[in-house]
Amino acid sequence: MFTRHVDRSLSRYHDGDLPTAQRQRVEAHLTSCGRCRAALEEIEFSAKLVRQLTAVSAPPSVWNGIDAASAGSHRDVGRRFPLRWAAACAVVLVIVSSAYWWTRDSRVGPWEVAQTRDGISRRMTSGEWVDTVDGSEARIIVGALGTVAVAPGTRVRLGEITQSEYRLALAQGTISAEIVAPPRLFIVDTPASTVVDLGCAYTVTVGEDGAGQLRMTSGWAALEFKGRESLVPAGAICRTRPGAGPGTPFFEDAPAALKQAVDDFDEGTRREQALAVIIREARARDTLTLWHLLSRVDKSDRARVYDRIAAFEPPPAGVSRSQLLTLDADALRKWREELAWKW
Amino acid sequence: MSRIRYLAGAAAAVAVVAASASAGTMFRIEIGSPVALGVNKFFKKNDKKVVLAVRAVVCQDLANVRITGTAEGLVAGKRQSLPIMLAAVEPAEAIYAIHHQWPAEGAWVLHLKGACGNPRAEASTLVAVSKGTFIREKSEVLREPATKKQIEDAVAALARSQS
Repeated sequence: MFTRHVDRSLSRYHDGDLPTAQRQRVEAHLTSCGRCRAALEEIEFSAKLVRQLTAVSAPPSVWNGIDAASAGSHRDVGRRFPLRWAAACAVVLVIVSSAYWWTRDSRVGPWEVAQTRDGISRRMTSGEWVDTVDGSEARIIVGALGTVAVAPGTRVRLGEITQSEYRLALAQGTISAEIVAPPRLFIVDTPASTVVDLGCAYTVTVGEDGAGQLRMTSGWAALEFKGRESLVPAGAICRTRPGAGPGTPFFEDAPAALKQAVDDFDEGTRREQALAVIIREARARDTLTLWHLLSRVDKSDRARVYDRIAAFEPPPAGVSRSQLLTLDADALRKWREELAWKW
Repeated sequence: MSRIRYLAGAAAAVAVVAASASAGTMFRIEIGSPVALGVNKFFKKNDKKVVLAVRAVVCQDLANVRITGTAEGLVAGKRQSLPIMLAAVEPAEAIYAIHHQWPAEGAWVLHLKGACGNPRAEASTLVAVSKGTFIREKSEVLREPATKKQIEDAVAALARSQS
């Protein structure tokens, strides 16, 4: 699809000078464009650097020089001082630019990993493995975004770091991530799915067979695999299976029967019975599970799922039953955003 | 007999007035998952952890509803109260995001309050928070201002459940 980049509007966006409609367009674009997100980061970083500059008093010799020059002819002042100021500005500009490029490089440098067994913190590069199979623990510093705790018995490969992406691959074991960053900047690949951070804290576990589980402790994340996506908010769990991708998310505090039925449904065992249990046991909060099922059940069962969700929360204005039953993407998103007030 | 009729009529009138008054107090402050804000809306240039979404409902003048809040906490036996900032997401619809801005230690309850001009009503919501998320089953949506006792009870109950 043709995409118009928004880099020309980013300075005004950063300063909060854009009208609401334009701001929303920029924000929408930023969610899917790594290039513009990186450009915004550079603007933010430069602005931060400028804010950190402190005013320093000039030494007395400078003021003496100014006084002496002031005593001279006005024509001399007009000729010499602009040159001096220009030179001073150029020096400041060079210092600021150097500082920016120096620190900018360090931001996208190698990973920093602290392993608790030897207590040593070391720099590791993309492609290296953090291995705690010996029973040790480790902590990975994800730039300025946050940290990832690596539990004993885990293998994680450090991926590429770019301005728009930090990537890890979890082969086996458990990691707990705490990330404070714009959505989609931190990504964890697992054998069954990819965990895309949307501003959150979570724990991912991968077993020997490659199957795994995502447990959200705050915010929300998306699990993705070959176009299939599960959104998992805080308090919810989603399992993944190799080849099948992300399963159906459910809240940890959901009725036990519902949780078992979700597992059965995802594994394809007694699907019809499992769906009946989910529909029967669902609470208002479990519309999280039902909303995901809407696009995963057979067409003949879709109306039953729709009716159960609608009993808790009818679709918002402008969204029709027929749109939802035909899985109109925009209608599904609008309903999800309304249902999430109960999640 | 006519006196009884008069009293019955008066009682009915009082009931009608009471019913219409209570209809005006459906105004409330709802809380929800950050998912409710959508990625496009809640993506911010200096994004921090969004703990929950907040909105006012059942008010004909949502654009003028202002929601404010405090974090009420009990840390190591000491009672604390901190003002919290609400980030406007859709001010015209009174939709806000709340980022994590209170200490990680202790038990914290967010006291959110707002007023609607039409119909005139006040409401509040007490939100139990823990480890960067909110606990829905321990939160209370009230169709009136929370009393000091309700706030203290909520903080104490959360602290007890965490000990």
